[in-house]
Amino acid sequence: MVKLDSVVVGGGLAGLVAAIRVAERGRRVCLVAEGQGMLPLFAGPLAVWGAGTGIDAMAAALSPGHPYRVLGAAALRAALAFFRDLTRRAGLPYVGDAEANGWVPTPLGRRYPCRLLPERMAPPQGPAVLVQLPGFLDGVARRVRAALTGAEPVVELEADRGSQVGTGWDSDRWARFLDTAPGARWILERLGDRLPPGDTLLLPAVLGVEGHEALGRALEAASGRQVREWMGWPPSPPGARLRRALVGEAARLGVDLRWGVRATLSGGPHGIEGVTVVPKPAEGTRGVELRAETVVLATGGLPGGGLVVERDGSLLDRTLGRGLAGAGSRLRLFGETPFAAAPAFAAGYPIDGRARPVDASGRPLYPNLFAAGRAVGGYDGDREASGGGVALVTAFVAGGEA
Amino acid sequence: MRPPVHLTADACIKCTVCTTACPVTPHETGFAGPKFAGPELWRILDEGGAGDPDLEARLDGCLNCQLCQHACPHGVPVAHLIAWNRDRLKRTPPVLRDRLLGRPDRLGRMLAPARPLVGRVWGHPRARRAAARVMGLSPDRPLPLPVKPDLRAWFRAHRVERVLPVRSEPVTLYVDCQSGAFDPGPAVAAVRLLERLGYDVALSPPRPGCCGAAWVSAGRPSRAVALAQAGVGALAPAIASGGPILSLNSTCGPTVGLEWHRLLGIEGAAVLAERVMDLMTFLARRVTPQELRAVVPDRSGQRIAYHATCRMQGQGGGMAPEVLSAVGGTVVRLGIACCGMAGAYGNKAEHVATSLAVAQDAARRLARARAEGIRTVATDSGTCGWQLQLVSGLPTVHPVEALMAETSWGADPAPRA
Ligand SMILES: Cc1cc2nc3c(=O)[nH]c(=O)nc-3n(C[C@H](O)[C@H](O)[C@H](O)COP(=O)(O)OP(=O)(O)OC[C@H]3O[C@@H](n4cnc5c(N)ncnc54)[C@H](O)[C@@H]3O)c2cc1C
Ligand code: SF4
Ligand code: SF4
Repeated sequence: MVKLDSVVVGGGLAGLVAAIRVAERGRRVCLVAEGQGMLPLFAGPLAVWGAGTGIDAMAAALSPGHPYRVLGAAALRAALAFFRDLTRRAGLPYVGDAEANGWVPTPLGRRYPCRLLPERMAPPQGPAVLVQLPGFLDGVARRVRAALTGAEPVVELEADRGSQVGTGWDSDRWARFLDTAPGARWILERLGDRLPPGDTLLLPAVLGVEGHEALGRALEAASGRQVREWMGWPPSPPGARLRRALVGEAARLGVDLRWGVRATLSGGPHGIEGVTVVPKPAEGTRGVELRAETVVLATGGLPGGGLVVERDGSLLDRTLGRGLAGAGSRLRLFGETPFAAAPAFAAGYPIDGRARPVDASGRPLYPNLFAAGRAVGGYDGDREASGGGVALVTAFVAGGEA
Repeated sequence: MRPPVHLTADACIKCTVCTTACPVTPHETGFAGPKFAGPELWRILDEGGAGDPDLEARLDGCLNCQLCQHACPHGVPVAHLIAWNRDRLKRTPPVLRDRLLGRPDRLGRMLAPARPLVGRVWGHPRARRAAARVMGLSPDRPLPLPVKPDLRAWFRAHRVERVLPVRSEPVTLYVDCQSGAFDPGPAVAAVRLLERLGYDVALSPPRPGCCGAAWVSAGRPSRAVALAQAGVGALAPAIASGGPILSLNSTCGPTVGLEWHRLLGIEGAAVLAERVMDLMTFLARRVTPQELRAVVPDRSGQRIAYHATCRMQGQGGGMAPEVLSAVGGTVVRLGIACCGMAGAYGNKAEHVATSLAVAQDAARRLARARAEGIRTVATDSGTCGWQLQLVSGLPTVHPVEALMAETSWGADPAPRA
């Protein structure tokens, strides 16, 4: 049996941020995660509130169970400031205004609203030149122009004859190519000089994962321009960068990171008493017992694997072994028409002001259990464009309590 | 043969997280990638689809590193599906080279007496290239050759040395083919350590064998089934002893402990999940730091780098850092995803380019560690050790060899107060 101060279950945005916050408070914390969570698919910008209203006005207008309302405007502000500091330290600075939305161009030529975004994705200053990669699957530069003035020149890069570079590559494949030495050479040679006039080079978000800082700087030096990226589809290099930055920061702070293990929690009258972890493919075997004063549940709801749908359409939290109020049928759970609100994706635990999951009467399920991210219910991250913000503020509060 | 029924693609939501974790995808243009090669192809083949004829080649670059499987948020056994998909696509029996590499235990025994001759041929550039061409091996890579003495012979002749009082719990050391046929070093160190700690150690299986991991990695799990069945029989005394079965290799351990049952569907193998344990995990759980310090050299002021192999990452990352730092050392985690060696994969002529391309990440991190004064690297697999050594020039050892070594790991430039 291993004794710790705190265990965080889940290694997505919420779990990593919560663990970092616990470790910063000088506590011994172990993060256990079955998989990587949704960060490899995360588009990059931190969506807080799609509608663009300031934090106070937004919080006041929300339904009482919404996590922003429950945790309060001050907590959200503090969480955003915390995230800026954290990402700056980790070498992936997020910029933007906590009170109003900025934007980033989408592959469809729209402006995606977000509060904080990686510096590399901040809106271009001055006239831009767009870059089209050969064979790129995830968007067409000409289309992206609609988010700007529409008249920006487009530089079409070509692969060498007979070369396989780019053929059917998505963003992830490009980013990992550009992370290699031949990849970096490939793009630096093509975007050195002989470019149409403009202050900013705008590319899809593929400028590396491991080496994104160095490659971005090298490209700015080679082209003599500011380099910016537009948003892409999942799988998404900016999400992989964020994951890498957060994992690095967690490791630096001494968080004991354990990937590839599935956790189950056992509760008693005094709270969560143990966390059992087993290597993922060994489901059903005895596993290792961890003991901790507090536990953070950051298991990610349906997309992250924290909740599963049972045959009858009810939802099961595999980690606590608890059923969650479902929608009665699978059809209703996922929305009866393709774009209808789908209760499945808003499902999760209601929380109290200390981010503890509560039962129907508002009492904490366990005094030492906290929840963060998609494990929390009462909001619809996709429709509200609030997923990143809620993950952050819940993790910030849970990590401050656990 | 039909793969075990618990393998299922049904949990896959096609999110592509697995593909973002695959170390081969960025380096091999034709590679199908885990999402397709695993769950998607599984569904296609299950529904009677055949796929196009060159599909098998598009799956052949898979390392079986299982990083895709570890990354999946939905518990899809991606790498297990890929292994069986590859098997299901194979139309011809394996060629001679692959039959040899599929049984590393036998290969080691065959090479042992011929060692001087093989060493001479490989040392001669022209002869090496000719031999490599015939064998389908990479001429640029050092050939792993068996080291003396033979582990079982050493074990029969060795003198038990005790430091701590004798304990009642019996322990079994699982002899993988690396320890049994190529390099007994880690196993010798493990036996000496466990005996000093007061354990009675048995070696198992008593005769050389192979867990089947080599066939699984080569995309032919059906050929591993007979080996695993024989393995369960050979481990019967160890199972009956009631004690833990300790593994020195991060691939063989889960192959025996989990995959004989879950991947190969071997009867009687389920019980092994409770019993097979990585040696470092065993030490971290069952032995106190005080006891450890009583039996191995003090490492205060010394520093070592540690690579948790891809397969160790899937088991929670390994306990070697805890154990190595319990005796006073500073452990630098290298953070390499996969070294690209994958057993015999890195020696095969058609895979050596991918193997070395994947190793670039390791090479970069090791160069950085070296520049910061690291002199020794520990990792939980012998073949991965060869790869790390090849790309860094740094000596690579098993964590238990690091524990038992007489010599220093190298100074820690920043000893903690
Ligand atoms: C495809 C996609 C893209 C998105 N893009 C954006 C964006 O660009 N901007 C934005 O602001 N928001 C975005 N969001 C929304 C929001 O960011 C996510 O909701 C948020 O990342 C969820 O984080 P999480 O940590 O709660 O869950 P997840 O990232 O899903 O992590 C869950 C973790 O828990 C683990 N886990 C689950 N059960 C167990 C168990 N029993 N034991 C051990 N581990 C377990 C999983 O393996 C995983 O590590 C996106 C969401 C999705 C689905
Ligand atoms: S196997 Fe897992 S990670 Fe890969 S696409 Fe399916 S659900 Fe996603
Ligand atoms: S096992 Fe490794 S190499 Fe094979 S598909 Fe999965 S991640 Fe890629």
